[in-house]
Amino acid sequence: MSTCTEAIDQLAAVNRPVQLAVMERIVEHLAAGPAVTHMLVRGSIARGTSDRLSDVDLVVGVAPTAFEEFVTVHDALASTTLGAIMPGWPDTIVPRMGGLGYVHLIEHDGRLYQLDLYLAPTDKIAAITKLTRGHLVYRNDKAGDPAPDPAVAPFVEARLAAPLTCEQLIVEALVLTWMIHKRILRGQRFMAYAEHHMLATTARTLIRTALSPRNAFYGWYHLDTDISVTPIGRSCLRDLEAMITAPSLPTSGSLAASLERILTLAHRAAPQAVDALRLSIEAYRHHLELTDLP
Amino acid sequence: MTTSLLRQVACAGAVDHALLEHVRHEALTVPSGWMAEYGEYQSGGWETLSLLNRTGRATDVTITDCEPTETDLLAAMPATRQLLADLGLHFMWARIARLDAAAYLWEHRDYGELKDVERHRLHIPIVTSSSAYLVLSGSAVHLAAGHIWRLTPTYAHGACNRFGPARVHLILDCYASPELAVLTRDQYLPAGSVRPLPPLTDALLRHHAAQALRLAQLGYAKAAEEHLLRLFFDHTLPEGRAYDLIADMYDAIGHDDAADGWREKKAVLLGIN
Repeated sequence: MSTCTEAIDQLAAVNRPVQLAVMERIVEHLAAGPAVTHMLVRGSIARGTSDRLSDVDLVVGVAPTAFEEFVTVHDALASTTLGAIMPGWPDTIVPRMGGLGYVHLIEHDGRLYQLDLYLAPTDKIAAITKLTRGHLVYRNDKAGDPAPDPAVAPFVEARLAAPLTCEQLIVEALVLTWMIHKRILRGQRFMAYAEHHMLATTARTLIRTALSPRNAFYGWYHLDTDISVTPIGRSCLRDLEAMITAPSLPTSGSLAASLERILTLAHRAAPQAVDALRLSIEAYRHHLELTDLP
Repeated sequence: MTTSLLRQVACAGAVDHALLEHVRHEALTVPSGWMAEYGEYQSGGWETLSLLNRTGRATDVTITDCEPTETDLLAAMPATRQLLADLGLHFMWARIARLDAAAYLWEHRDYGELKDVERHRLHIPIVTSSSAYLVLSGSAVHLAAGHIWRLTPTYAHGACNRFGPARVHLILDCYASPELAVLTRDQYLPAGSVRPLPPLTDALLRHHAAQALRLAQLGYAKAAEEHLLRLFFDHTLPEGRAYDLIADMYDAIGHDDAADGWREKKAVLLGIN
């Protein structure tokens, strides 16, 4: 009997999801900083419903007095120690829980994984744990119980209110495409629909930000009059129209086409932003493996 | 700029496409037990095995002057053996080398420890991507697959594979010979292989130095060091400047020993007496 249990344990170890190794590495790196007070796993890994495509959802509690500093350097930290292949996307999907969310695409052992980091001041961790049913994986016992810092809330609000730059919008498109691809592979049709709609909105916002930044608040309105006055604008709108008239439930093929359209219009409207991300985009293409490219 | 760069790195010829495909297949399926090399000149993720060396054991990877013999690994890679034989060079050592994603060989000079004999290094890229490149004289040079590249590693240089996939090269150290002279007679830099790196402006320098300082103060000293070391791969910097920036960072936070350590490291890596 014990032999059977041992054998199954060995099999379980061999089949251990890679995301746990990714998480271990991240927790180990982040725990090196004394300002990190807690780390919680949330999402499918915490619920026990994860699969091989699941992202790693981590809430990172940071001492309130160090919160702003930590947010400011976390991209550099993700790039140098976590294997991020591009800057993190400021996550607009995650609920507001008093902190800031970022989605990173990180390379691990030849494959790309999605890392959702939610950075929160320590005083918000108890509420976040309750809300997300997060699973505590790290606690810095030396950190004590730091008091809230009144500077954190306005900093968070300012970050949430800041419009995304062209470079951040390109990263948003790449992250959304990554997420939609997972939905397609899993057959999650409703989420694929929702995120595909977001992708078209990202393309629109990118065009607005690059070509008509002062009228960004108009959203979908007045695009014709604001944008189509130049050849570049007209070409971008043609790409956008092709995206919004594509089937609302994407396939791998239509997703690949949408990605190409966004990158084409980004190159046309915001070439410097594309150039800054050129190596990241090429690495991303390698990992995305949309097999039925048109 | 191009003439100076040509002295340091250049394309010396092409590899037969069909043969390269076989070599690539072997390179991705045969080698195992890669020898990870650790050292102050690199970030980790640099692994090699020998194809021709002094002992015939693939796991002996510390290069030295010798008349090499075939290793057990090369014996199991017939297409690669043919490729090396067809070159007909006077080899000193031949390795297969893997540079993983996010791996860096920091700015350094090679051959400092070897005896003063004329020798040359050739790279034959087997698997590569645009995020794998060398940095020499303020330019990023991507060594495209399908070509034989000559590198003169006594110049300060660095190598990186920023985002993957893993880069696999054959690295051939050879002595001067008539065959090598023929191979390297007409050297050139293919269009698109060189990307001049932008200068590091004062504003950017202050930004990155501040980022590194914050990382170090938050307890991420290694990340701070790497953040500054990677500037060499993004910008034109005076020789050794990245090392100076790290020493300055440690000075700023009162870590005198670490600052002195990086100044010594700079001298060793760049062969400064």
